[in-house]
Amino acid sequence: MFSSLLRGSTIALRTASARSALRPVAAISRTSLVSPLRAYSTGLNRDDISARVIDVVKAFDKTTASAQVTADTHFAKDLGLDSLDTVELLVAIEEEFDVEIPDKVADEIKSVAEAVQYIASNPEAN
Amino acid sequence: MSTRNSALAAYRNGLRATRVAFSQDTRVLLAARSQMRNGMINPSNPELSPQEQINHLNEVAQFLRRNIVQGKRLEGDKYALNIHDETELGDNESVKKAKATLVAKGGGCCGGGQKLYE
Repeated sequence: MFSSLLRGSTIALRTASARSALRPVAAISRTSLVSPLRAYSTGLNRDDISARVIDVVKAFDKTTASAQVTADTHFAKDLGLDSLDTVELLVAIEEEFDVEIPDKVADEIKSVAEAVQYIASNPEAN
Repeated sequence: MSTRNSALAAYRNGLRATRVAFSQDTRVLLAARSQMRNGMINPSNPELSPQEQINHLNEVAQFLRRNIVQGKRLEGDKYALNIHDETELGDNESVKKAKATLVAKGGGCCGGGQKLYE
C-alpha cells in the first residue's frame, strides 16, 4: 500500500512539472508581480497595516483634495466617496495586501479603521 | 441580497477580473476600469432591468477572466502569452469521437431515416 502511495505521488509530480513546462511564460509573469520584500511576511504589524492602508487611500484618485487621512477616517463621511468609489478603494486595498475580501465583509467596511481591522484578522494578508 | 448590494458585488467582481486579464498592461487596465465605472453610471443598454444589467456585468467579468489572453511581443515573431490559472483551456478530445452517421443507423432516405432520432 505504501509503494502505491509513492507511485501516486510521483505521477502527480510529473504531471505538475509537465504542466508548468507547457506554460513557462505565465509562471514567470506571475512571480515578477510579487515584491520580494513582502514575500514571506507572516503576521503583519498593525501600525504597518495602518500606514499602508492610509497610503492606498491617499493614492486613490479622488482623495487628493483631502490629504488628511488618519486611522479614523471614514470613507463616505470624511472623504466624500460614493459607493462605487468605496468598491474601487477596497479593490485597491485588496491588491495592496494580496487578499480577496468576501462580499459580505466588504459591504461592512466603511472606514480606514475597519479595513485595518479586517487585514489584521486575515492570516493570508502580506 | 438587495439589488444595490449585488450591483456593487458585480462591480467588485468586474474590477477584480480586469486585474486578472490586464495585470501586465496598466494602460488597458485603467481604461477597462474607467469604462466599467461609466457603465455603472450610464448603462450602455438602459432598456434592460437592473437584474439583467448585473448579470451582464458578471458575464463580462467571467469573459475577461476566461477568454482574454494578452500577448506581448518579445522579438521578431515571438509573443509571450499571459495564460493564467483561470484561462479557459479547452481540449480537442471531443473531435476524436466518431459521430453515428445515417448509414451506421441503417440507411438514409426514403423512410430509412426513421431510426435517426433513437
